[in-house]
Amino acid sequence: MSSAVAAAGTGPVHAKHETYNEQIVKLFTLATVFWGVVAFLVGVVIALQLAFPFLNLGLEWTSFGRLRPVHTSAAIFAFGGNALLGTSLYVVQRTCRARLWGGDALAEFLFWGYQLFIVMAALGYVLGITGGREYAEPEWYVDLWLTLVWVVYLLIFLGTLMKRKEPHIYVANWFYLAFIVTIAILHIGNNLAIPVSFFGAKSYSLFSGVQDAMLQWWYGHNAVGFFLTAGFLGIMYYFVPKQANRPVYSYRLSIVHFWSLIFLYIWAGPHHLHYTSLPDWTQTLGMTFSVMLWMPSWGGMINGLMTLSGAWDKLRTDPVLRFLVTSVGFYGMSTFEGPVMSIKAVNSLSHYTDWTIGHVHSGALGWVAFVSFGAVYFLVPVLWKRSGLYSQRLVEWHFWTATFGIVLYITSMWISGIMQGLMWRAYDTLGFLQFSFVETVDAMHPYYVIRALGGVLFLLGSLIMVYNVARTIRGDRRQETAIGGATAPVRA
Amino acid sequence: MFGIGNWIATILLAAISLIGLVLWSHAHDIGMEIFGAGLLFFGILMIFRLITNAYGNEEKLS
Amino acid sequence: MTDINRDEVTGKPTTGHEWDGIRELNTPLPRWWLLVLYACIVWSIGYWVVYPAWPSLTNYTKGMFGYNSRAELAENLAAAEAAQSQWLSRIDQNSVEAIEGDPELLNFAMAGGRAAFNENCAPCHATGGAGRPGFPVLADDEWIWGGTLADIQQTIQHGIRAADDAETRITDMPRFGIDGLLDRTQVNDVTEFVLSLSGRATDQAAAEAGQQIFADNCAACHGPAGQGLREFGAPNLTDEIWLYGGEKKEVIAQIHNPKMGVMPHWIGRLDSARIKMLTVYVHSLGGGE
Repeated sequence: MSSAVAAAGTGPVHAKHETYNEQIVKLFTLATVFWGVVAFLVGVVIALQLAFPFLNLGLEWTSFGRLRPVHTSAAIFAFGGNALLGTSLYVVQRTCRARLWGGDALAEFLFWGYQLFIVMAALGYVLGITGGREYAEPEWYVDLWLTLVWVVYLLIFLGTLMKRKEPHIYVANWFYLAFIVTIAILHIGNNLAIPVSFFGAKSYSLFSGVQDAMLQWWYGHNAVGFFLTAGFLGIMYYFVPKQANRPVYSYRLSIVHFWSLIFLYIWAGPHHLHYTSLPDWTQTLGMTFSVMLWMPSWGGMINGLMTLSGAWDKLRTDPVLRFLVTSVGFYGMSTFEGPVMSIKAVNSLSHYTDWTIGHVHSGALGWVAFVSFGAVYFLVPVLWKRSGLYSQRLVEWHFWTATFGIVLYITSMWISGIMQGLMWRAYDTLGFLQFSFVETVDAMHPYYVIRALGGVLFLLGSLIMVYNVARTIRGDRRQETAIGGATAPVRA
Repeated sequence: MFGIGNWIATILLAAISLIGLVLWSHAHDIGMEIFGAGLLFFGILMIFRLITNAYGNEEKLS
Repeated sequence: MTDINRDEVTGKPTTGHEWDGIRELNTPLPRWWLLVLYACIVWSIGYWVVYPAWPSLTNYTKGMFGYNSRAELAENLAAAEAAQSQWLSRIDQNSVEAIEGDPELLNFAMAGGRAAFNENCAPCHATGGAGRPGFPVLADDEWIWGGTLADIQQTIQHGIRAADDAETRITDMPRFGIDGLLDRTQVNDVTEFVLSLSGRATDQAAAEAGQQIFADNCAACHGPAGQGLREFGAPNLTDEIWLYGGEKKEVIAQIHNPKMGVMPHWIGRLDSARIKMLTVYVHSLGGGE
């Protein structure tokens, strides 16, 4: 990883020395690692609860229903959110050659305010306080707090863009800005609710029935689209070219796929409500826009992968780059699987089954987590001014452990989900259902165990990362032979 | 220098703390209690950070 | 090669911008990418023509065939019902005994009974009626309330100790221990006697002492020889089948403070044809009388 530092050092040739607020990026990076481990750990716990129900412990606070939103929110908003906030503040400063707008105090407010949001939300879930909307479970007071914090984030980001010293805005920043703006709209739209009292936690949605459901999945799908896709494409567009030290493959493709992605994604939500009381025309639009979304999504994959043209050999020697590139591969796979699953005929089999869970995790583990790991491994030596990571070998170990974990996870969920869907719809010749619900649950048990094993491997991988990051920050460097040959990966 | 921006931040954070205190003391349930207490201590600790940062910077400059 | 707007490795033109060392190639859009995007758009437009798609203020485009998913569901349900209606009405009109006598009807009732059993009964009695601790095995010939078709039908219809059902099967075993009907020694002695019925007494003297206690307190329901009495739902105590466990401490616990299981009534929750099919199915599991 001396390469990253070298690249950062050789930076803009014409640069007059500019100082950046890197303290805040350090905090976000540490928070990313911390919440990542929390999210994976709770994920393993609830995966084991599904396989072995006694692990619910008979306590309300540790029951699956309460821990599940802790896992999803920790993964999306705590781990993913901190990765997005941290990298966006790093990238916007570097690519604008401007220190963060609003001063260090405002940035610090953003960091601690966001952590307060996470802790408040998680405590609420465990205590049984929930708005009952998937991925938007926090109650009204936490929502208001997040709104305040998010506005501060938008101001810092926009302010920094405004005072940039580069003539153009770099593509990563388009994606970050689309993410920040759209998440603000989604968050406010989906959480329009009336509190029962000013001093109580409970509130009720402003909408009801299928309109409420539609609003929820307009939010839910675009949380995937703008939080987990657009935002992380921002990470990809900076860290892949940076780590590979190659120019981005196609500027035109980045423009076309950015705008088509932004325009199409916002329509796709209704595919979560196929074959419900949602009107047919809405289902049609949700499905067709999801299919049209395929190529705009893949534009990001092409730009990520093809940026390596002329540098493919680095994949052999640089495990950090391998994390980044593999994440793009998983991104491509998930964004193909998504449109397929949105087709009504496929959805009638896949909906409500574990297939959906597998799909979400090939995106969350393979794309979101891997690209974040790559960014963390890039950032730590740069931020703490180390000559490189403590150990490339440990990155390699992390990569294979986590990859094997993902493979176990998604294959078991594919098999389990498709089996579940087929069992639910199986009739005998006399017109009776062939399987009862408990029989399908029983049949899924072995796959739940395999899935939990995959989660354990993924968690182990992240613990390797924690160790590697900690030793790097301490300033240690492990004596080891370079990966993939005699020469260490030193960039020209 | 303890600039004008820091004064504005301090006043806003003080307001957040006060809101937290009111929510905490009037809370109908555990969720609002925790949130109120959280806001209160968040505001106080952030103001404390502002003060230490400002004096730290002054010492560095002098 | 001094042209700064070219990438040194591939020789391709760049846009000439640079951010923190990152440049961008000016590669045109991949042709296949653009073609697939267009194909998806064309396919979507076609789909909009065929199916309901775009809303107006008061209505929406209905598509070429006026497709409606609710109408499709109603059709499917009607077709499924029609396919079974002949059979179901024949089940309805015949007694359970007659159903068992007619091979065709029996075949249908077994399939329907199995489906209904797995959905409604298996959570307690386990798949195939294998039973669970506290929930009787239905695949053996030990019946607490009777194993004839009529007995089974009655049990399914009205349940056991079911709330809100006047005809439910109900008896209460006295709480000999906690209500002070028997003291500790007596409970121990009568337990030893009960265990001796299946040849498992550990204390012969106690078992002999327990014989009289059994005759005075238990024989009225469980029978003088402990062989059980179905009118009272009193289980046979002479075999190796124990609903709440046959260890000594488990038998003591049952005498001291009896557990009395509850089964819901199914009349009003399942239609009579389904209850008949369930009856035939349960009767066939292994112990039907």
